[in-house]
Amino acid sequence: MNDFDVIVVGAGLGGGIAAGVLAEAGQRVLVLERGRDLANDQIARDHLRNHRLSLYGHNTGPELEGNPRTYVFPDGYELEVAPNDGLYQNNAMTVGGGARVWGMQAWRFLPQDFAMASRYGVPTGSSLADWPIDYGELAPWYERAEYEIGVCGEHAPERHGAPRQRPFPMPAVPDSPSSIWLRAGAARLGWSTFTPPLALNSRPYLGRAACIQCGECIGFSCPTDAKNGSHNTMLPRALATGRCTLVTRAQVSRVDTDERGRVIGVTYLREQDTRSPEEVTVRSRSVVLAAGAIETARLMLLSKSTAHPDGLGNTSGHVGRHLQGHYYPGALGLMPKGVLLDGIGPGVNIATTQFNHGNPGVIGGAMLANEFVKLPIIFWRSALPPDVPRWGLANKKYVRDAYRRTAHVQGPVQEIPSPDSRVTLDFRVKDRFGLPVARLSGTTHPETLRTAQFMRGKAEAWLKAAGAEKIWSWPPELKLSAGQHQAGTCRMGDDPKNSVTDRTGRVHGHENLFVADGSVHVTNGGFNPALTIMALAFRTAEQARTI
Amino acid sequence: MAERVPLFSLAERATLSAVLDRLIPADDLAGAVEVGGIEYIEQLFRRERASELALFREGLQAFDQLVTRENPNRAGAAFADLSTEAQDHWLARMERGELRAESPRLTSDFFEQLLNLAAEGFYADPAQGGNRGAVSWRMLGYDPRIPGRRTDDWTNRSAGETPSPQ
Repeated sequence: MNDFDVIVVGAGLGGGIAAGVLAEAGQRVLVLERGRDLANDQIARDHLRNHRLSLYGHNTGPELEGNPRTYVFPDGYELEVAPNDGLYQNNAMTVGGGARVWGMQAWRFLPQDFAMASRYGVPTGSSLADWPIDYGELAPWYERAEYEIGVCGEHAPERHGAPRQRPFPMPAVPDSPSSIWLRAGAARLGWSTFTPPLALNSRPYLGRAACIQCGECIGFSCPTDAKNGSHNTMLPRALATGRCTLVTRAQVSRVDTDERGRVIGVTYLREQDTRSPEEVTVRSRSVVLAAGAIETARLMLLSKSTAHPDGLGNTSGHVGRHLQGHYYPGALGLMPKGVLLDGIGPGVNIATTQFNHGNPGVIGGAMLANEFVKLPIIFWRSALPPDVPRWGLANKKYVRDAYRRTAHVQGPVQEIPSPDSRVTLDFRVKDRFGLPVARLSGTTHPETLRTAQFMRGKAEAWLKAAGAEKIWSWPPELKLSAGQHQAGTCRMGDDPKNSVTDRTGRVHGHENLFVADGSVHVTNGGFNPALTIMALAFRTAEQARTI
Repeated sequence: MAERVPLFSLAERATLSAVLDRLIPADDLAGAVEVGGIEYIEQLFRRERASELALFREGLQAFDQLVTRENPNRAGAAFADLSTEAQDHWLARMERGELRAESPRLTSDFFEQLLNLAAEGFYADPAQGGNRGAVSWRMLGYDPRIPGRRTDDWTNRSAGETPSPQ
């Protein structure tokens, strides 16, 4: 006797969508989330402890104590890291996941992004591959995500490069001095630009208020709940059916299988304030994993059994491999006197996809866009030119003069995956439940750096053409890349020998086990990956309905 | 209340004040100390860096002792008593790692810690104990448009007090 029809592990973007689709289809759904259910005003507005700057902590989950990971440097040195350390590659763990504190860029990938290996060949040492599906397959699901989650943007398919039928459900965010200045620069270069798509209520939508343009956006929750994700759309819809149960502070310790190896449910540990964790076993007809590319892979590896000695769904050995995120090359420039940033949020309001593909001598490329309103302390720490004195009156005067004149252009490079960039289990380091933690090792493929260096040059060129008085930037370095855009660890494919899920997100060899997060991405696009995660989650959830 | 007991001795506090005000000096607007830089640092050490306080205090003591001993021009003068030019000279030497041979605590890392703490107390949100009256935000024109949390909303609050959310 099953307790539920389906168990969804993780209440982030993908899990919330899967829960909504399945509950509305009549299934009894259990959503298990290791983080807490935080209201917007419980996510602190602390400038030193948020998801843009987490010097001494952060403002969601997991807690700093008892949730380590192991980070392996390229030279083999292993370091136990806490969730507020950048090396941890944290994505906010709370109901809603990273979308509680995200920058909301809701991009469709381009048709070329689904066929990187065919277009560019496979560099030695990389695991670059084509997706098993193409853009046309995903297009209707992108549209569904744009309407059901709520995305504002400019209808400019020819300038973006991704065909689309309907315009966005909400108009784009307005221009600002920086976008007007950058658009003029792009025009001088002959580059096309447009207003990027944001999962933001630019006007009231789906019963929630519009953005108040506060400017304290990325890294924080939204004071008016105008920042969209599954936490304020699909998950509430799931709960409204009366068929969905959400359990928070619930760490799934394994996916359970029967003696024949068939998935039958999960076991989880529920944290409680005054007592030790309670172990709970639940049974279901199917299981959807949506814990993010690192924790989903960790859970599959933790779920080894006699029938699955290398971990669940891991007969190919690919679970945990091809871990990727986004290098973010860019440049800063001092705008001429008279051009002042207005501090109106969110701040990202002009982009170009001119250099996502077709760049001589490099593989792929990146979208470039301007940056969010910067917190003053972030500006001081990471946006000053290298030749400005680091302290004293000269530093103070420079910061004072430059804060509202500094434009920042950057973008996410489509990474060339490496099979050695991976999640494994560290049996020597345990979390607060005694479970082996995720061990992150390897680096991106060196080709990623060449593309990043190319895009750094384009960012500088844009600022120069716009009239920047001074331009500065930093070279990319070879490292492991995952972070908030983590992806790739359960890549989809038609051949079970070199992929983890099939083209629908169903784990090979398991009729009733699905993955609905960035883990399934074969490559991660030269764009923020969230809309692709959402589109695939809708599509995979419709598959899971049939179980 | 126990938690209001100062974390630093008077001498340490004098050294720290002098250091902070050279890292972010006053001009027509307040410098690091006047906006609550020391209160910021005390709040941080009370809140989550308690285990590092002893080492931090040792660093301040070592810096002052070294300056007092080796200052060729004004024998016996503490760091806080020096001219601003002399203070900058000593800070620059610590930044470059030149004082490490004199004291194992006076590394360039210790300088970086002092500099970062000064900047955090000056530029971070006033709820942290520094940036009193949101002086630096006013200086930069940073003004988050959140009711109750705008730059002007911090003006008449005492240091460390958080506006009530609206």
